[in-house]
Amino acid sequence: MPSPDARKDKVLVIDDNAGILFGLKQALTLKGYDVHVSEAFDGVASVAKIAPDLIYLDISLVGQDGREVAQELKGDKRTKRIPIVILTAYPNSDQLAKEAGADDFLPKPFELSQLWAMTAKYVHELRLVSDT
Amino acid sequence: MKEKGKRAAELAIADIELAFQNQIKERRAAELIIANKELVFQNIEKEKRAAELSIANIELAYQNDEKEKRAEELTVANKELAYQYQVKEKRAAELVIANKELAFQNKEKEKRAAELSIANIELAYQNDEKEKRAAELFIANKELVFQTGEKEKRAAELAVADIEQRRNDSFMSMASHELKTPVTTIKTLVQILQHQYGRSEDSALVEYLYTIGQQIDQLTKLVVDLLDVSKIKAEKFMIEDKTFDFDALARETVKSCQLLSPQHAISIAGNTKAQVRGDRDSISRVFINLITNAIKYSPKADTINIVLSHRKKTLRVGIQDLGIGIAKSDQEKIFERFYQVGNDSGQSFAGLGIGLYITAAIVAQHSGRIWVESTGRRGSIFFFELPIHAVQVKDVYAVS
Repeated sequence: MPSPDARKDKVLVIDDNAGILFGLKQALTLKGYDVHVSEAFDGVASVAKIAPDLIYLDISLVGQDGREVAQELKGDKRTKRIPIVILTAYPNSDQLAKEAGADDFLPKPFELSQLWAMTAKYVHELRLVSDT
Repeated sequence: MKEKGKRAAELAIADIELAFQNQIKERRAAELIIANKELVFQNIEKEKRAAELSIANIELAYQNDEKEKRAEELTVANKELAYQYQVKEKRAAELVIANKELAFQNKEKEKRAAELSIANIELAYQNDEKEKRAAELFIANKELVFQTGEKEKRAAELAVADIEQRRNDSFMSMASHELKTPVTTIKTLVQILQHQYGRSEDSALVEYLYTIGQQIDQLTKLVVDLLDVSKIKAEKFMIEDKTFDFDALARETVKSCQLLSPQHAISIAGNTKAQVRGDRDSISRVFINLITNAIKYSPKADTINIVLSHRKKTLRVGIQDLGIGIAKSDQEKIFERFYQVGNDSGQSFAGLGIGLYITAAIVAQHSGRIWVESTGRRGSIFFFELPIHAVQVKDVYAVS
């Protein structure tokens, strides 16, 4: 059970598909992360306000290019240290992630174990583990 | 007086004599004048005559010249005549010969005419044949015109088909991409459920979740394969160009396939001792696809045999199953896209018919070749060959 004062690691998921957001929220919440989801990128300021420890960012957002979003976040001193993992259903995920200046990529569809391993790779402090 | 008389008489006689003489002389003078006139006349005549003679002479000289000229001409003409005579004699002789020749030729012509008559009949027959043939050709020509029309129609259809094919490819690429989103969501949620309830005491729930999970994995594979097909068509198949140890990859892949399919015993023998250049993951996929196929099409058998071998420049892999086999007519088509082998026993096998298409494309992209050998119902052996990039220094995988 979580201790009330323990600060959970925050993961922000930006994806324009509600299903993906729901799935990731469930999967990561299960591992004890504080998951924030957004269907669009609302600007660096709003991300800075959430101050996540890791961002999952879809490459093709409605009306937005995930690569540009990543570049914007990486170009701002408030958010440049936050690791970004690119989510994409395109076959050349690695190349897209490199172009975006992101830290990593997770091609859709992924295994749950891959998602958890990827998250753990960037957010080490798992203060709340709810493995059953 | 006598002397004087004598003398006078003499004188008189002399006088008379003189007068006579005088008369004679005068007569003579007259005669001389006449004679002289005559002479003058004669002289004039003579001069005239001389002039005439001179003219006549010139005329004669001219005539002489003419005659000589004519004589010369006659000589030439004579020679010419003599020559012509000779020529005519020669010609006459030739004519005799020619005549004989003509007679001979005439006979020949008659003979030939007879032959021609026969030939003519033959020609008439051939002509008929030709007309017949022409009529046939005319029909054939119409047929060709029709066929050409058909071919053009077919070419136009193919062009349309090509456009449709491209549209299909881009559709598949898009469809695959769009399908990935819901598949990802379902997969995530099913896996969460499996994670939470996979060890539940409710065995029905466990089975449901297992089955859903299995089906979603199959769906995932189909979606990924579809995208691969469109990638192959667009020649965007990403190939990592690295050198790797082939035997290690083979045994590694076989081991993981064995874990997934415990009902078949997968054996691997031999070695290639080869370093291969290309995309390790893709080659691994070739193994997985061929082994998965071998398992899928030999549900009643329990062994899959894999043999590795090598020659100087190529390595060869043979993957043998003891399954239903592949009919001769299907052996080349199975590498085509969406080709499904019809099964006379009505047995059906799930899939889109793209596994072997992708497999063949990967092998081709690595400058290799792939084929199948199958005799009736005693199973099939899929072979693929790849160029050897380098030979392994050590024989790590000696036959165990």
